[in-house]
Amino acid sequence: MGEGRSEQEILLESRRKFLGQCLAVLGATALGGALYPVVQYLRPLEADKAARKVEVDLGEIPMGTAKTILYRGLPTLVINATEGVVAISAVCTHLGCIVKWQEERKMLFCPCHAARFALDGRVLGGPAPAPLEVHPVTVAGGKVMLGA
Amino acid sequence: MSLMDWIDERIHLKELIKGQLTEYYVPEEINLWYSLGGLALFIFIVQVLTGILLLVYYIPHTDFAYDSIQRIMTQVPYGWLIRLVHAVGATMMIAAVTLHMVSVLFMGSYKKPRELHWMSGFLLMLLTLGIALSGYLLPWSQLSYWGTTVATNAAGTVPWIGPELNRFLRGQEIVGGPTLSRFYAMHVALIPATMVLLVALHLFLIRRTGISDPPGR
Repeated sequence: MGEGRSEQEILLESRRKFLGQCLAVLGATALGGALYPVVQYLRPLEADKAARKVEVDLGEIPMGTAKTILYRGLPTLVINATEGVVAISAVCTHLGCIVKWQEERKMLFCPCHAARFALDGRVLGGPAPAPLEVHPVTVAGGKVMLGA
Repeated sequence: MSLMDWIDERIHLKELIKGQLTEYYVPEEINLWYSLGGLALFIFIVQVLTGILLLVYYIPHTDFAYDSIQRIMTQVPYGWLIRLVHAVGATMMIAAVTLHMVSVLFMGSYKKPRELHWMSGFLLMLLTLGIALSGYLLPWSQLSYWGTTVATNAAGTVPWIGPELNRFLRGQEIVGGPTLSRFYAMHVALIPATMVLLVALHLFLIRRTGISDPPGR
């Protein structure tokens, strides 16, 4: 293909190629400039991040029952058990379903695949590969506090 | 470029790009006025993209619509930019479409064999006005509410069917929740989808006939 072409033709083609590359750089810069606000716009909002400190009124949780709250953005069970107040992650370690507190059997039960956990997070049965995480709590003045 | 070659070997894309884009020849005498259709199309694409982004945070309900717009304007990063591009773009698109029509009318470009271009363009202009009107209600502000009340009242003056048409547009006797729902459906689905089809037809037609030479040549 290279044979039989004049010097001018070769020059024109290399100029065309150069201008095309300049255009590509400009286009990529413009695209990046337009994409940056879009990525920022779609990023999850800081303000929507759930509180790192949560306070629950113990009066809302009668003895033996539990309440599901959001702690660090994740469902967490605050259980008012006879053994004391326990805060435990409600996200099953099997496939991430939300476990429920079973008052009469005193254990946590996952409705998806019947994993069972004890109050201290231990796996009692079912497919769960790891215990549930227990969060430290302080109880003062009828309030349960999670997080520092 | 090897990916391009791979594709080209199978569907001969390069000859299509060459014939329709990089080596597509237009009359020598055309000027800036001939770019208005392309400009309107560009704005339409921008409107679709920013519109999709606004859907992420907008809530089409009378109780939440206004607050969701406030949140986009004040809290969401670059939300003000996305929304203002969409709002200003709407006005710009009407300007571009109107000037496009004036140019076509003035240069006589609508004449045979381009009558179909004019007719599809006329429908596109009506749809542009319709999408602008229906979008105007969505922020659910005082301005949107009363603007829509006045605009739908205009439909009520049509002889015989006016009052029924008015009620059909509003979904009830006065502008309210049902109006917001139907305007929302029109704004984000019905009208844009119809416009995409008509734009495709419009472009197909102009490529079939080629653009018109300025008269007197």
